[in-house]
Amino acid sequence: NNTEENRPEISCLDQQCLANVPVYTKPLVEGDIKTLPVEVETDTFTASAPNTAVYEGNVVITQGNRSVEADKVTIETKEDQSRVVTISGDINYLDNVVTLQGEQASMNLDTNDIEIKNSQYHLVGRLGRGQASQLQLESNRYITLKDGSFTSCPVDDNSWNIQGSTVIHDNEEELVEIWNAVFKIGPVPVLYSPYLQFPVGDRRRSGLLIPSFNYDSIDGVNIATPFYWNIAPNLDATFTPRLIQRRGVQLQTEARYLTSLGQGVFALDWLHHDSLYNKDRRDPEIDTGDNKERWLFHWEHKGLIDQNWRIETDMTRVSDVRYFTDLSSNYGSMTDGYITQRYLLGYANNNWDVALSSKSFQVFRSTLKDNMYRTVPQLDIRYYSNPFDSVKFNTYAQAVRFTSPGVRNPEITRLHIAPTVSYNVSNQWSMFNADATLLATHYYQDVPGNNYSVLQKDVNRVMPHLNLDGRIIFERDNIPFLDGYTQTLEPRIKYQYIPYRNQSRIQNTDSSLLQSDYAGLFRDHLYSGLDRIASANQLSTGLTTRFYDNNLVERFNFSLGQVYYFNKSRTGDLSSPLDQNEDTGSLTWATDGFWRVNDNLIMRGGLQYDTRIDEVALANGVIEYRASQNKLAQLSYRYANKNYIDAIGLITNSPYKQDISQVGLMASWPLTDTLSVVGSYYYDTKLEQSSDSFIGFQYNSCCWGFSVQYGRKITDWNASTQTSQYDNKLSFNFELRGLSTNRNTTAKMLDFGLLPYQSAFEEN
Amino acid sequence: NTNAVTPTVRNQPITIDADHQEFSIQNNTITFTGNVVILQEGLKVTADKVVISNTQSQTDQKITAFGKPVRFQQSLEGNRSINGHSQQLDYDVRTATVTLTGKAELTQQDNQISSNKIIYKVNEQQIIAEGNSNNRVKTTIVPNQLN
Amino acid sequence: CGFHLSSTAEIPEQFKTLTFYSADPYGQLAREVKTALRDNGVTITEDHLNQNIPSLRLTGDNMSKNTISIYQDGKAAEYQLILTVDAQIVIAGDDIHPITVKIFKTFFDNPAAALAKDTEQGMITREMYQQAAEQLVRKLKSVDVAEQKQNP
Repeated sequence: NNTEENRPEISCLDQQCLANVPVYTKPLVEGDIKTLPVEVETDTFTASAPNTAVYEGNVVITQGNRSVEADKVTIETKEDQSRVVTISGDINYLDNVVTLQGEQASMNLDTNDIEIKNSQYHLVGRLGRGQASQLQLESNRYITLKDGSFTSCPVDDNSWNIQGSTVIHDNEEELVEIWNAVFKIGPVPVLYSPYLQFPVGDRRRSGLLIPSFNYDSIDGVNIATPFYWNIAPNLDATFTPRLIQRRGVQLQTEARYLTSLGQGVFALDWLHHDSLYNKDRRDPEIDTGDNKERWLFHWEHKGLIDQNWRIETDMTRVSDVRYFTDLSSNYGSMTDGYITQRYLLGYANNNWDVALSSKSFQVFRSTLKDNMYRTVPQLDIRYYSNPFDSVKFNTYAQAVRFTSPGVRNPEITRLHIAPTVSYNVSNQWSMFNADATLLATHYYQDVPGNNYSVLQKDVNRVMPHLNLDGRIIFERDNIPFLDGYTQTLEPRIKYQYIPYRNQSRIQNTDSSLLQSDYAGLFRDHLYSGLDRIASANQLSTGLTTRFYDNNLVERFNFSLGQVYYFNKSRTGDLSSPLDQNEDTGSLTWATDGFWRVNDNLIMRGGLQYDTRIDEVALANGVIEYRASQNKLAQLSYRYANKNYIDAIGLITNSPYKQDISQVGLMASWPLTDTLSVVGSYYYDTKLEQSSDSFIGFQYNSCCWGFSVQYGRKITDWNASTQTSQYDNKLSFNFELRGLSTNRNTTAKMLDFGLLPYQSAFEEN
Repeated sequence: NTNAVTPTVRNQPITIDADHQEFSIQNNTITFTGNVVILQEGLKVTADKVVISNTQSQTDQKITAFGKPVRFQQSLEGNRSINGHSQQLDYDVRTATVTLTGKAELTQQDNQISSNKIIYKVNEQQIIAEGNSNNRVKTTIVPNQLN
Repeated sequence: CGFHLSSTAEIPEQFKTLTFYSADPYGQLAREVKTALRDNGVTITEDHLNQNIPSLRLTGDNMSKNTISIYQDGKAAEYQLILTVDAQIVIAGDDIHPITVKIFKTFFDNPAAALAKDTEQGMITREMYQQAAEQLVRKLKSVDVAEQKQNP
């Protein structure tokens, strides 16, 4: 919770790694190096005219943060008053950035540069060392090595190192660049690259360039070798050629940019010839496109221009419906049923929020492709009156044009305006809000072939919406067994009235029946969007209780509520289950809660009961124990009733006709300081089959890490055998460590399957 | 005197004044005590006691000064000067060598040297400092301030 | 059972007047937080220079969407949206108290009604911003206690 600072988790492994890393103990000296005096201690000193001074015998020079020990030092003052220092014999240099050892060196007192022959170096305060035939330290920032080497392994560990004709450490950018780089594991050269660059520290995006190896039963071996290119301070790109054994060679490119109009990412993945896909295309069972190349294009942009103007895009397009099933990508997952292409230009200030946008989708089931609707364009206008007065006048208006690739689908233009007057009063123990809204909508529905038997060409729908919403907070301090705790009891009651309007002559493009958790009981509408506004004469009541500890941190809360329908909620659209049900009275119940048992243990849960199907509609629960980033265990259960899924209009074809009763266990546990096991197992109790599971082992030493993971998951549905199709995947991952504060490799492993790890804790 | 002394001092006259002066014929020495000041073109030494030995021979004449501390100052061209002090100062006239021993310190502009023993060869303009294990030669160089 | 009308105000005395800062001041989250503050009787002043007025700063928010249950064909049944809001209360210019709020919501996806589901996600996102704002306000109490314990 928020009162503890989140202590940086320095694992005991990191402490061992940093055991013999040089540390700069003296207080940092600020100031320009030119003005700092040079103190020299020596056994003997000889100064002879006109300008040479020779120090001999355990010479120690200190200037500002730098100190040099050597056997002999000569300082010559040149005509231009610059002084060149020649150092020889068992040299030992230390400053707050790097330590150097060598035999022969020269130093310029005014420019702070040092040049040292066949030397060893070690970064100060972190891992990073190597040697060089010739090393130069410039302006306390760049370390340039000729025929040098670099590794982040501790002093006594030579697991890997990278040699290069030129190695440059930039200690401000925290970046290492190596030309003609030879990557060696132990003595064995493994990889050559004309240029290598990676971060040393946390400033730079990780452009880690170490190949990753995967094997899965469908694609075979999969090798990716990323190349990071830092084009400009505000533009960098990563190119990742990926060899997929049974498919072909794919090139994944990603470019990140930063401009005055905002920042964003472009990504293009291109697989010219996919042999496995070409085989799939000949199989009528498999739903593929008629394309040969397989590509993905993604563009994401977020721009806020002087706080009022907003430019946002978030679009992904792929070459065919099976793209994410066959190929992995950061911009979509195999579980996606569709992807979105969204563009938005907005202006907002205190009173107005205007946004012009367009949305389109690419649906991954050819049978459903045609009933997809796009909004091209959509204009949303929100007006907020002065927020201070208790009577507010807000308005929402929208103009949108719906088009669809389905040739039989009408093209619809919808104009909507909803002025709201609201009166709100609150004090420390209560809140009351009453508002009245007028919902006025006009439809112009252009049905192909002018077949207006069902839909109507011009439709107007005007309906008021009244709301009375009140809550009170009761509180008590003396709770048995929990001294110092405070408990609140927060009853809430909300009445809503919306008259019935027959909307059966209106095409439903953007409305779907909403699932109501506890908060949903008090929602204004039962449907999303505007095409279906259900009549309402209902009373929602609920009770929330919270327990605060003696630091007033919320440790536990539990809510229970219901909605009482005085009469039937209808829209006139008989295809919707809402209309098909005649019941009134208290139909929907919902409860949810959380309990933060202690810093490492938390529970969350929720349940929704719907009398219209007379069963529990939805239920879920999660218990998580978490001691650290890689010591955690989470047990979860999710239930969704088949009739309920049917009721909210999801069931369209066979694979969905099922209850969901999914038990999941996900854990990561350190076996030793360096070895930990990561695993997950999700099992559907109704179908009695596992849906997604993996097991993985992770070995981390100071400067490298290796993980192996084996997983099995559902990838498709075999209509003929009416069974789920599985794919199993074995993945090896080699990684350099010790460069930046080590990335949470456990998190990456926990995202291996279809169902990634999502922590139930508040702070991540 | 504004014009600084050229380094060769051998044939320059040396004047010494002090509170008391004592002349000893057998061991051929003169001893000055009490606010002793030795002056020679561009060179000034102040001490509590000064002993001059081998007074007759110009070549192996030696001056030894004692003080708490003995102060020594020599001005060079470009009105730069070298100052020093130590517990004992020996000046070998023939070799024009000043030897400071015992908490010796020498400063030239802002560069400063301290050691157990400092030898200053005036003609060759050479300074040699020798420390020993428990008190080492310490020097401080101030990088030339860019004016 | 000892219940009485809540005496300790939702808003501690020292946070009755706040300055508010957000990198995206007219975005949905900022608007919801300002509304939640006003609904709880907080006056938001623009006097940013006056250091003895505490300041609530929205330092970052992130919405993640992940599959949380799947159908027999491997497609996503439910998605979980997690809104994480990071904020700070800065007292007397330098005493910084971080606050993190996380809101969890799940919803059923349906490729057959992509636009309706996307609209639903937009609506749920709005609700999550509102709940995050309310939870942020509730957390002011614990910051007040922590601050008093820190420098009594």
